[in-house]
Amino acid sequence: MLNIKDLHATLADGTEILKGLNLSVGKGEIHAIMGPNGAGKSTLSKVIAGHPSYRVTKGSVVFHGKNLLSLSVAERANLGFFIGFQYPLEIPGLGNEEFLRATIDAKHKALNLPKMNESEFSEKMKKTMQLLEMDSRYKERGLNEGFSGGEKKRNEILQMAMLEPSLAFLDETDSGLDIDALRIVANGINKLMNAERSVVLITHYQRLLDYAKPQFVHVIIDGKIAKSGGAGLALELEEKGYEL
Amino acid sequence: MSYDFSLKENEYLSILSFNSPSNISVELCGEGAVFEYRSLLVFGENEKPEQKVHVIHKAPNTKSFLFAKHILSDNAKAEFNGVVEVCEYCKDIESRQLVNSILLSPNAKVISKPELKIYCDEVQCSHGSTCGALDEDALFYLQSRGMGLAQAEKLLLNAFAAELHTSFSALPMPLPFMATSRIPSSVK
Repeated sequence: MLNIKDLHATLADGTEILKGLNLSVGKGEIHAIMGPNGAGKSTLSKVIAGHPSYRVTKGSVVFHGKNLLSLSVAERANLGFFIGFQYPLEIPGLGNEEFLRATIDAKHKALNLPKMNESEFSEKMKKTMQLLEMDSRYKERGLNEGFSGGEKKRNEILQMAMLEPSLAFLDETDSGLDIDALRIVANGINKLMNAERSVVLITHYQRLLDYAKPQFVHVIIDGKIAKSGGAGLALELEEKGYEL
Repeated sequence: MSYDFSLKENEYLSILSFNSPSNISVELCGEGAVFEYRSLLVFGENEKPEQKVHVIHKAPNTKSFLFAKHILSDNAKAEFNGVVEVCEYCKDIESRQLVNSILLSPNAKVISKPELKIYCDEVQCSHGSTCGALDEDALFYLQSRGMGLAQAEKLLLNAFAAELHTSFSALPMPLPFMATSRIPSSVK
């Protein structure tokens, strides 16, 4: 589904963050990406999503057989890529529900699907919010406006569940979550998973992986995958740190 | 247009204005008087809207809230002069002034002067002003959910304008308007 080959990416000032990264994600897989601060974990997800602050200088990213790097940010999203942000922005004045409605409409338009009708949308949103144990007042509030850290992360998962991407990169979605919120968020992730969908969890901690079990664990060090393994690798890292 | 208002004890006045640059002066003459002013200016081409709001707190325990927003494109140049004056012996005053401007072109300009003249202690007064382009990260956030750039920009501008009635109403209950015009649901 996703094939990243020899990916090099720099900041606008030329600082190289990704230095020849290779990663393949197949259908129906959960991957975990771990690694020390500043190794390039967040950069990787932003580069795949098309963030304008980064420049790809070498390598390729192929997603569903298409050259992802030639597509706009929106086209990547509508092809099925989702990025869950580490620090979701607050946008006061843009209602949470209004925003979700606009994203679903944009997706349906891009894929030439008929517009989702109002009752189907409301029902889906209601069910998903119940699954994520979100109070219905979050519908009316501004996008992430005044949300706590944990509420923002749940709201990211709500967006993911509504958009049903085929591949989600979740950047430290577990950071700042208490143990109940962690279980709820993991539940949301597991619910989305099926044989056609994949999730990449970028995390510092084993605890999320207890709930959402990865088949593959990768360690990024200095802009490259330094080691890959099975679920056991995360436990090993937890114990021994990143001194591989 | 010029407007002068004088508020007596426990009177309140709320003005919500859209694209009506004007000269407003308000005297808060009786205890418990409250003045709220919210304004949105959307201008482009070579337009030069000027706004003046002058508030004088002449009685103790009075409140004033001034929120002004600008969306400026092309060569538009907007000027906002807000003066909040607190007279001597007027204690327990609360006043807030905030001016937010979005400049959509490198030639658009805003001159923002939210001023305070305070001749008394025991008051709570704040004033602030922000100015900038649309936030790149916010645009990226919306685009990452499948919207094109133009739609993301439109939603952010609408959100910026909508804040005037979602977040910025300083008073707990909706007030009758002396002069109102609706903020359009879509900004040009």
